Amino acid sequence: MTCSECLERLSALIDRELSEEEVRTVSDHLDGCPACCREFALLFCADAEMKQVPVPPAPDRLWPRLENALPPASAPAQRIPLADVLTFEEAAHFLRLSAEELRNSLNALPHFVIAGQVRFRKASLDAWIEGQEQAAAPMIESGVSQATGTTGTVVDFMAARARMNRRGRI
Amino acid sequence: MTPKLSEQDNGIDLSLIRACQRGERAAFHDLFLRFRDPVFRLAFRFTAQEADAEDLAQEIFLRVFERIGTFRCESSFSTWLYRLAVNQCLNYRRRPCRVEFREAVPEEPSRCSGDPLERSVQREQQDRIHQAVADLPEGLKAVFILVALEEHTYAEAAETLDLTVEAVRMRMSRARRELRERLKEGEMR
Repeated sequence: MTCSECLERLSALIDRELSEEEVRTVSDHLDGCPACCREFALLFCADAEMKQVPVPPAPDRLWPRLENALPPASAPAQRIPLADVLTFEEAAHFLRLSAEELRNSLNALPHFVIAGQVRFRKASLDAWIEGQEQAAAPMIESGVSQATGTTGTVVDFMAARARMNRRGRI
Repeated sequence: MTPKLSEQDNGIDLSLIRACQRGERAAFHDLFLRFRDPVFRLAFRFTAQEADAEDLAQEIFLRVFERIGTFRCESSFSTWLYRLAVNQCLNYRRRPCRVEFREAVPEEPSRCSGDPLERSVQREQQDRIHQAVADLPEGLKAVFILVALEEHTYAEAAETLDLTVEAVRMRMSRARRELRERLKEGEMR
């Protein structure tokens, strides 16, 4: 090992980040090289001294200062969480329908219009699906394939599909 | 020395993090108490001034309060906090014309001299060391503080600073050489 290779590794030696083999090679070099050995001693002592320099403790006033700077605590939220109201796209995703299918079935589904936009309350959709399930229980139990038969309506089919999709997700 | 940040992760309750994410003040106060000393120590090492460290520690905790919602509990909270704290430290710009009022720094009994003159010299030497670290170029300073003073492994520092282990190793070597030169210059003045 050359002096230059040894000097490059002294810092990692102090940090105990050399492999066992590297430690052996560097130690062998230090044993026979007073210049590198002196450099190592200087680095090592400087490091030890720096580690021992005390740092002041955090002042007690830090929390009161921080508390004053924190944004005001918001009142307990009573509003409906955002996820309870679905946009058109979210409702289509929730029911596993295309936008076109949802648009065609809009009159059959509970929804409301605000600022010209169609919105769905998730709880209302859930209740509506429950109702559809009860009404079409025999058909749903026998699977979606029967729901597409002549006795099933589009709405029945949608309810069956939504229910099966939700089961699949669970 | 107070425990380093990563040691503070031991026993940190996920429910405490969750409560902080919901904006609960009492939980945030608990989190603050747990991390106050290591965060302040880190801030002090970057600035070498108590008043600046106090401002900086406050900024770090404010940032934690704002950003804790983005923490995903899959990784170590202390790594997340260290990364945020180091970034704040590197971005910190000192307020101009600051008057520093110093509080007594506790000294280790074995190193504490009874002689006021000797104490003053010792204090001056300590200030010089803190200042030399704080004056290191930014790329070297963060690595040196994390590894040499906060006792991180190269791998931990690399993860916190988004560097390779080899880059940490090279920067540590350069930082040590640079510090030695700076402290030698100071002694000669």
